[in-house]
Amino acid sequence: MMLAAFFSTLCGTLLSVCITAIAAFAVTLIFKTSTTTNFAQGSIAALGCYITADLFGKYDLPVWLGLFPGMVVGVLVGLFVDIVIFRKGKNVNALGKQIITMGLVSLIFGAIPLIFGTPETIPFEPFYNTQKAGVAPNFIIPAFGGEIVITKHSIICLIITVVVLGALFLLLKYSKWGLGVRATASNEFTAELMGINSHVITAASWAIAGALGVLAAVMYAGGGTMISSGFMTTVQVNAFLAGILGGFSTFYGPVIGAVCIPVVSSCIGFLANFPGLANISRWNMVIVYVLMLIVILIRPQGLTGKPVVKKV
Amino acid sequence: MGNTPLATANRSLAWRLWHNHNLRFVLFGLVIATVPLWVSMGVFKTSWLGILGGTVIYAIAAQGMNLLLGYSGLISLGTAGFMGLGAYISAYVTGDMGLPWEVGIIAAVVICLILGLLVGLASLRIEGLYLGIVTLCVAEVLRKTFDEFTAITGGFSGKSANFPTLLGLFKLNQGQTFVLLVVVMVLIMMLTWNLVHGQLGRAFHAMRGSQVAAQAMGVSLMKYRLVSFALATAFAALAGALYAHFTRFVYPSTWALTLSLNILAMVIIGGPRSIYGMFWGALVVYAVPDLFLKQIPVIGDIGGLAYVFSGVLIILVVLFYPGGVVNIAQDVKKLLRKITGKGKKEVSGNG
Repeated sequence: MMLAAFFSTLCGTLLSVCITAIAAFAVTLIFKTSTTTNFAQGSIAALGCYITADLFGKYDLPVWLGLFPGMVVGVLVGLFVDIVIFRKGKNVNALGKQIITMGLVSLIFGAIPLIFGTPETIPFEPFYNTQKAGVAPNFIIPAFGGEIVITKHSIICLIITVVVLGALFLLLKYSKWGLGVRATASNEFTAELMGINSHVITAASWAIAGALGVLAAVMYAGGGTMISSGFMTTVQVNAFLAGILGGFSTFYGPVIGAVCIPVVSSCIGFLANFPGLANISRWNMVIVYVLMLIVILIRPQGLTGKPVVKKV
Repeated sequence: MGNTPLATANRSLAWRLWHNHNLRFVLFGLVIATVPLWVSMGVFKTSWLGILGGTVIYAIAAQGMNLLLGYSGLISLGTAGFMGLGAYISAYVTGDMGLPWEVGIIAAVVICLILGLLVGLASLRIEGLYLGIVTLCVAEVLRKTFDEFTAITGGFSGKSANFPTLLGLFKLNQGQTFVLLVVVMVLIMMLTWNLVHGQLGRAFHAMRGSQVAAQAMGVSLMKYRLVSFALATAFAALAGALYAHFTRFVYPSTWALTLSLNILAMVIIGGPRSIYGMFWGALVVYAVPDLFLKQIPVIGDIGGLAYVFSGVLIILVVLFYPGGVVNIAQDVKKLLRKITGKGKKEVSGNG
């Protein structure tokens, strides 16, 4: 009985794992090619999600179809940031780039109410609206003397995540673009000497990161979270944390980190089922963050990273 | 700035007074401290007092960030968390425990200072952009604690505080509290100026330039990183405690990532490694959208425009004016001299 409840809680984090993994991959892509943390990742994602929600609310376009215009907006904003803003200031250092992405956060935060107004609630639905279709919202698997409950939305999201991230990892490993990204990530200057057009590589990375952000945001909103200009902030903070927890030195490290955070969080949440620990779910995220901080302090290079040897 | 004692000794007393930095900070403070006067005369709107008070408070927090980011080259995204902690501690000590205002401020600063030292210790193991993310997580832990630790913070419904009562005798009103804020800001400016123009400042400069070279020169990274973080968090806590007593209400949602980012933006826009720059940066980021943009008819009524304005401004300053707005006066002067200089040449050429 207890075991079934445990697996149910674990499956409840499936959606969260998918969203954080996608966001973390997007953050890593930009971190490695542009050597900056993109604070605007969540804001760009929210902007794209608003487009999807607008198309759904006003023109009744299904969410899975509206996702594509949203992703196009994400791509365009990403390209705009890299080509128009970052390339203007080639001598802007990593910190300057960070500040620019912060400026973008403020810009998009203000622009969203200007474009979309401030409605009380924004109607939204998952990719597959079980209510409209008249089917049960969950899969129920009897196991361990109890029932394991998984929402259909999270299964759909898991499939999308595995396909998208799988394709991207294959591209990174075997395509010319992937080779270019890896070369640019390890040393931009040398990569340029080797005939790699690092401009195209970084621009493509920003475009992909923008699209991935919107995908994550639409999944998140489809799971029942209210859409607002800042609704992706928590996801983004988790993605950053996942990045350093897993180690930015590899591409798969942050994805591993992204799986760890929601899983550990749900394990702590599960402890609330035991007598005397009922209050623990309120402190869930505090405990998770403190645990992660301790791990990062012990292994600053991340779970998968190798220690960096400094050369003078 | 670069005056040797020998050079200044030969100058007249008036010249020396005019170029005394401490006196200049006091003059600067005196000018700002007249704001309540203008408000009572009806020249400024009443709401301006609150906005400018906020500006002074953020300028204090930004001064700490300036020490960290501008002088030592370390980054922190945890300022909002420490400001919030300072605010809650001070509100709790003065409100629930009934202790004097001064005790509240000291308690806030001391507790945050200890936490700052811990973060400084962590910074020895974590570098660069990673440090930003780690401090961001520390701030998130603090913010979640403000949400949940209702016994002290009052949770989502917030926590109230009073205007300060100095030495248990003088109960201040809003205008007088504003003057108090300015006094504290001037003291912090003097302290920062004197710190960074001494041995500590040299060590910070060395550390920012190259850690390896600094260590080779005998600058202890551990000592100076700890000092840098301790000072930054202490200033943030002080700003937070003053915030609690000036606005008299503290909500957990105030201390989010946006505030940390705004304080970072104040340092960058104002001009890193400049003492006055922090006030101008705070003014541009925090006050200008509220004070001026909302006054413009039609455009001012559109919600969100202020954010767009400050976002665009941040991007433009980083791209095209990396020295910060503090240099505007000098650059304008230079430009004028250039123009008038050219004019003179033309005149002499004609003659």
